[in-house]
Amino acid sequence: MTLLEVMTFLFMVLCVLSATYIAFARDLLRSSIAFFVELFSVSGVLLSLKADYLALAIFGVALMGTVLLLYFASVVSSNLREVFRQPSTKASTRHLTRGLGVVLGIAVGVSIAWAFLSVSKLRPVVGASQSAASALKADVHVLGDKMLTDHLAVFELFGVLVLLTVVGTGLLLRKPDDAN
Amino acid sequence: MQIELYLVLSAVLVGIGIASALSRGSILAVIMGLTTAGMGALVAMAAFHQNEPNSSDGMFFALCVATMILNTIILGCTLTYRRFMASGTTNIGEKNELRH
Repeated sequence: MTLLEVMTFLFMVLCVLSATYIAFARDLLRSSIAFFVELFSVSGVLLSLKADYLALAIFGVALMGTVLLLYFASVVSSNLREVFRQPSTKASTRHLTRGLGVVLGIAVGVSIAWAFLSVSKLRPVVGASQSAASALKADVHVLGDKMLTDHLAVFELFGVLVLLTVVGTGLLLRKPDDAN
Repeated sequence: MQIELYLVLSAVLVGIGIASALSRGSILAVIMGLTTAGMGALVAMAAFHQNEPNSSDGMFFALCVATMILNTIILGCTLTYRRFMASGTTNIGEKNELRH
């Protein structure tokens, strides 16, 4: 087993552990930090798949998303102390909802894993052939070229979408007095 | 390392994300769960991309999905903050205006 495979396996384990912590932890602040660890681990896994640009994008999402979640979690926690507070619904309903959610999540995960594993003609990824590695090395240039040629409309549409998100966020966060 | 390992990781992440989104009460936790499921989808896309290394269309789609995930986080946090300032809670169970 090479060092790359060991690192990939460690990132995978870290990713699953942090995602499990997010699913069951009651503390929003610690969940936000675990969220960053999870996205960082996903970036490492994507790096092992030679998807460098995607890993960088996910790392950006991790940084920005974690800052946002930490900020809002701190605001919510400081005002309501929701970190250590349970929802106001009945305990039986809460446990039933949580149990059904966990069962449904496990069922979906097992179903997807079964569907993936039944796909035939899969080949090793890490340690692939040299020709495939050289083809992947030029993939960033190919992707950038496709963004500005074949998929220009989609690229522009997503740029407009991000712009609308930023403008909409500013409008939503505006105080009512600012309208005047 | 076999591609099946990545696909199993993807399925586990999607399962944990859906379970987290369905079982948590706070909107912020739901956002984190949905993002976890999206990360699982991205890992699957990147893994399947290795079978077609000369085609970048799938990776472009994966980048679009990453953009959508970021937009979801930003807008979700903003709406959570606005809702919290209006009603003083982020608990999904107390948002029952659409039930009546």
